[in-house]
Amino acid sequence: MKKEMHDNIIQGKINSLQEIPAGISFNAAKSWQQLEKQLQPKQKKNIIWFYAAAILIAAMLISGLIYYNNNSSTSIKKETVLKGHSSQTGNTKSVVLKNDKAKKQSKKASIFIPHQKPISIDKTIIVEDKIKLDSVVIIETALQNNSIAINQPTEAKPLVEKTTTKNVPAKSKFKIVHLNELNTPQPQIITLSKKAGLEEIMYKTGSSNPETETRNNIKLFQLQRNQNDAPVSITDNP
Amino acid sequence: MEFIQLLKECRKGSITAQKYFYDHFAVQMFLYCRRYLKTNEQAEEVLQNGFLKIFTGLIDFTFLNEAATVGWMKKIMLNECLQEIRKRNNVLSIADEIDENIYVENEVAIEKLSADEIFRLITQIPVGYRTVFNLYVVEGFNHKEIAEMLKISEGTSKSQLSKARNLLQQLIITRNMVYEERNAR
Repeated sequence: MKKEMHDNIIQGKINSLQEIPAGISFNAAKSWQQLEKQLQPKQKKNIIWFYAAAILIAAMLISGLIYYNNNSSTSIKKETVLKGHSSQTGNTKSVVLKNDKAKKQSKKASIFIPHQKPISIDKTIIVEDKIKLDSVVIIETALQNNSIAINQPTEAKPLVEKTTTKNVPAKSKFKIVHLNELNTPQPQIITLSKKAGLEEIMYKTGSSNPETETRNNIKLFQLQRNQNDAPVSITDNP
Repeated sequence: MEFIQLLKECRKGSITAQKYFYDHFAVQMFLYCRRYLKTNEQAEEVLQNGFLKIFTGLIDFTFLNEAATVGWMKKIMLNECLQEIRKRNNVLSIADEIDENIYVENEVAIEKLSADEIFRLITQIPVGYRTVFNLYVVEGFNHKEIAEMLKISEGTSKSQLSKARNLLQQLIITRNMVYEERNAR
């Protein structure tokens, strides 16, 4: 009991102590300076980590953008093989393009040819590393200029799709005719018939094309000459 | 500035607020540490570490009132002190001999002593005894708790407390004798 009383006295007196007793020294300012040194580097470290994280995120964003741009504008780089191909029409050639990213497919694309109007292509054909296009001339020109660019990003679909190209038809130009020319009489059509099974040639006398006219005249002359004395009838069909 | 506002500023990392906070509690916490540790330098070192942990721990600290905050700070300081004591092997592992009878009660002498004098007398007790004395008498822990904290047996805790009381008593008697001699002259 008395011990507890003593303990309470000691406890009360110790806890009420607010000033440093004589014989005990404490330099609060010096101690704070040392503590401040320990506090500041931590904050600096935090700032450094913050900047490092920001730089990392920025780098990731930039690399992501570059990767995205590379994917979106697919450049046909590596192997470009041009093969002459006789199709069913006989007038077309097929162009085979091998690309490392050929399995990707684009729904809408455009082919840009310098010094020419861009031609829109609804779909680009990519069939197992091969691109076949009907418009050979355009592709050939584009390959020579190394300027095929597919603008739309591709969707990675494993399935092979067959697509067609569609050229925008050029506007037909009408001949500019003077009003007085419309009143002129209908041109005479001369039919050259050849006795020895020669094909008939329909010739428009009113044609303004001097080359055609000259060519036909030469043909006519040659026919007469080749057939020697074979009779050639020239009939006027009004 | 209100105490809670001060804590918020310290939590944000404001050096000015931390300085203000430190100035407000430095002496109190230094005396707290000095009661456990042997020298002023050790106490200062532990004080710095303790404040560092306090400023770091403010992020997770939930404010109730100022008294609870001071209690939380004292707990941090106590852990730092005990860690320092363990590091320096200052806890004496004495055999479980309980010699409570040695203690000579001198109620009047203790009552006459000032807070400063009691503090100085406690700091003169060896660290091993002093630790148990501080934990039991000043902090109010029981022997079981002290045994767990210091990783000693309850008997050792009781023994060390008894020795600490005895030593304190002897110190008080010595001090009174010196005081009486001075007065006699």
